[in-house]
Amino acid sequence: MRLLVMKRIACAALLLLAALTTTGCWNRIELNEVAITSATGIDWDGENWIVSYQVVIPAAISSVTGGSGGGGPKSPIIVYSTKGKTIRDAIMHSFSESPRKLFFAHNRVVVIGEKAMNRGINELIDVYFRNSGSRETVSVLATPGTARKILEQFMQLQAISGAGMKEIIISEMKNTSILPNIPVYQLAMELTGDAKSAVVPEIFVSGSGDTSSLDSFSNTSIPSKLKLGRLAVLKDDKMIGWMSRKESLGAAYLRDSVQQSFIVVPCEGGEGKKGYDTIQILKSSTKIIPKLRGSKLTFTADVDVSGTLLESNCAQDLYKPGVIQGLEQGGQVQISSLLQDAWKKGQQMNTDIFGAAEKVHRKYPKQWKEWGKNWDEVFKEAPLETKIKFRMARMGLSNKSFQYLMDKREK
Amino acid sequence: MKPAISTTQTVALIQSAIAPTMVLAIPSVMVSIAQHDAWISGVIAGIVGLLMALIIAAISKANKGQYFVEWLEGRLGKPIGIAIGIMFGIYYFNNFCVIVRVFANFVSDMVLDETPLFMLVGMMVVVTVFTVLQGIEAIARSAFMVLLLILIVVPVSVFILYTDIDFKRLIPVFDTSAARMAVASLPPIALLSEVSVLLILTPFMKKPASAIRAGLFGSLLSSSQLLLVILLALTIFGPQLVPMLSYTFVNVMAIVEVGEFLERIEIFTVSVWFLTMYIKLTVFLFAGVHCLTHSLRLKSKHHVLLGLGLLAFVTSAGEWPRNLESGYKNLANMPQLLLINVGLPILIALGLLVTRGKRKQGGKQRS
Repeated sequence: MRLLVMKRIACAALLLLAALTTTGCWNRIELNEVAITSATGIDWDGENWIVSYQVVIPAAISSVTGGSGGGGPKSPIIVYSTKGKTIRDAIMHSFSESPRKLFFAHNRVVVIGEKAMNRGINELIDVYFRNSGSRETVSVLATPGTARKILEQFMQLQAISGAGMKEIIISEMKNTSILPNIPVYQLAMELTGDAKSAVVPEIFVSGSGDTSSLDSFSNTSIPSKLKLGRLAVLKDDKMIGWMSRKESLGAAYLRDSVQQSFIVVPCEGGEGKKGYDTIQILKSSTKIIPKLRGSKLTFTADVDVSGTLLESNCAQDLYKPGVIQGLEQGGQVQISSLLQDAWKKGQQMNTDIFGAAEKVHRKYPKQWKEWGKNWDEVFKEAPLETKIKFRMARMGLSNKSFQYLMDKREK
Repeated sequence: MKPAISTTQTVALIQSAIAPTMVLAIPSVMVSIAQHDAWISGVIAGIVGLLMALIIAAISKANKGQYFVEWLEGRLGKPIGIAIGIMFGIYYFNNFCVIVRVFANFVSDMVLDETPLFMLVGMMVVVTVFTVLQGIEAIARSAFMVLLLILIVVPVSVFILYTDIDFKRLIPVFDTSAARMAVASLPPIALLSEVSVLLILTPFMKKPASAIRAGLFGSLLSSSQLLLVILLALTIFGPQLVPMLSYTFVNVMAIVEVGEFLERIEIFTVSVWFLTMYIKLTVFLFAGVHCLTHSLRLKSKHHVLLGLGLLAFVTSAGEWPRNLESGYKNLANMPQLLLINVGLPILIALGLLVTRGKRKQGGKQRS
């Protein structure tokens, strides 16, 4: 009997001991021992990588966003940089100046300075795929100056500018589609693709001066802000130039990455008065079809777009079928010219960022074995034909433009 | 009393014995060889896998309810029976050690990077030994539960990833040479040959007559999982990037980002995969202990289990100083896998054919 009790006690003690081992991982790290990074900057000074970190200060966030706290507003983020022969070497140097260990799991964006972009970014992609702490869904942005300067800027409405930058690029992609959101894994896919070309959106400081001090927020307008700009074009892993916003929108159509967008179409009202119609693109799909004419490779971009009228300042009666047709034709011309401009720019830059190489590889696998060796030259000579199907799906809540009513009254 | 497992549980056991290691490292190896035609290699491997399952099941059907080693001794004579039993025993034990190490490497790569390897290996061995102690019925029931989880996780994963999938990335089909496609199908074929565990499991089945069904479904479930991972990887990442990813199925799930509320869901997939891996470990340790106990005429299975567990712990933690050495090459050690899982069963089948006339009921059944 006694033995049984002893056995039970021993079992219970053993179970309790086992419970001790389930309390956590071998090396526990408390939340207040990590420095949560919201944005990372990568620069190249000619010899070394300079990695900058935008680290969140949780305690200070509430004071910025309106919570109570002693003293004035404190910066919710702190930015510092370290230098090294490799990216991870630079990150290791952060241990000698930061009381906390850098934690990259919540990193939202990685901003790359122009010099680093020109040098090549293979190492950065390797870092992202090799380490489990950093995520491949982080958005990549390029900047004409240094990445550190971008990380230092405060942003309106969003206390942590790293998270804000990601929100801006996602919102831009959803609503205007001029610039795409490029996560690290997509960048790697494009760079290893058949054309070995990729794009990265630009972020820059617009306005005069900078907004790296909270004092700027004591006024209703800030001297400068972070803004998305052009599109950086990469060949292999190096940047070879920029595309303007207009060309970038054309590229978005060709890459079939337009979710929603807008176009401004010139229009003509009664008595030759000129104005503009603004059309929101609700749906868009593009097929790039390679064709062989003789031995020459050509491409046709088959674009199917539907839109809604957002604004009109021409005197037009939208009940009339001719007016709608006019709008649709105007849209077709606009989109066609966007596509041609982007295609020409791509050819000028000698790089195929439109995925044309993949399309050719799929359609002409045998010829691709030859073309693939010299794709840039083949692409440079290939003309693009556009076939735009533009449909005005909705006219908004009024069927006649206000200008039309005014003109009619005058008569 | 002899424990009994149902046909569905046997299917679950077989798929758990094959799939977890196959979906871990094989897809990226296959894609690096056959590029975007790797899925065709997956289909080829699946068909060969079914054929192997058919052969193994046909052989095991000849066994009318005796334990594997005893049955062989009865049919082929004691020395041959014992020799085959020992070979199988060593194979299962050896592979158990390799799988524990590969599993521990994965855990330390993905999540617990600072936990010492001996701790991870130790925990895995302890959990496996504990499960094997509960007997084959407990293992079979757990395997069935895990199979149910897989059947939930797979459709959910595909649904979440739906928008990232682009089937055009598989075109042009048959772009890779037939030779490359054939070479790429070899590693999964080698692993699919692990269906030979059915030889050991059949005597425990309630209906040994349905061994063929269990073998075929088990093999089919495993190759379908491999095919699914290859297809997801190719249609999401394309053929160029996949060879760079060590653990393809984890990377595939890691890119899911729905708004700001659904992120990092790979942990769910990995958790279910962990469970299948534990079932694989228990099946292998069980098979090893079973073969060695019977071949070496040992009286206490429990002592053999504890002894092998201890040996496995030391081997897994100490055998390979570098993680790389214990990786894919050991996992898909083709000559060894094919010799034990295909070569030996064929020899057994030949032996059975030769001794068909003088069949005798040899050996007492041991519990």
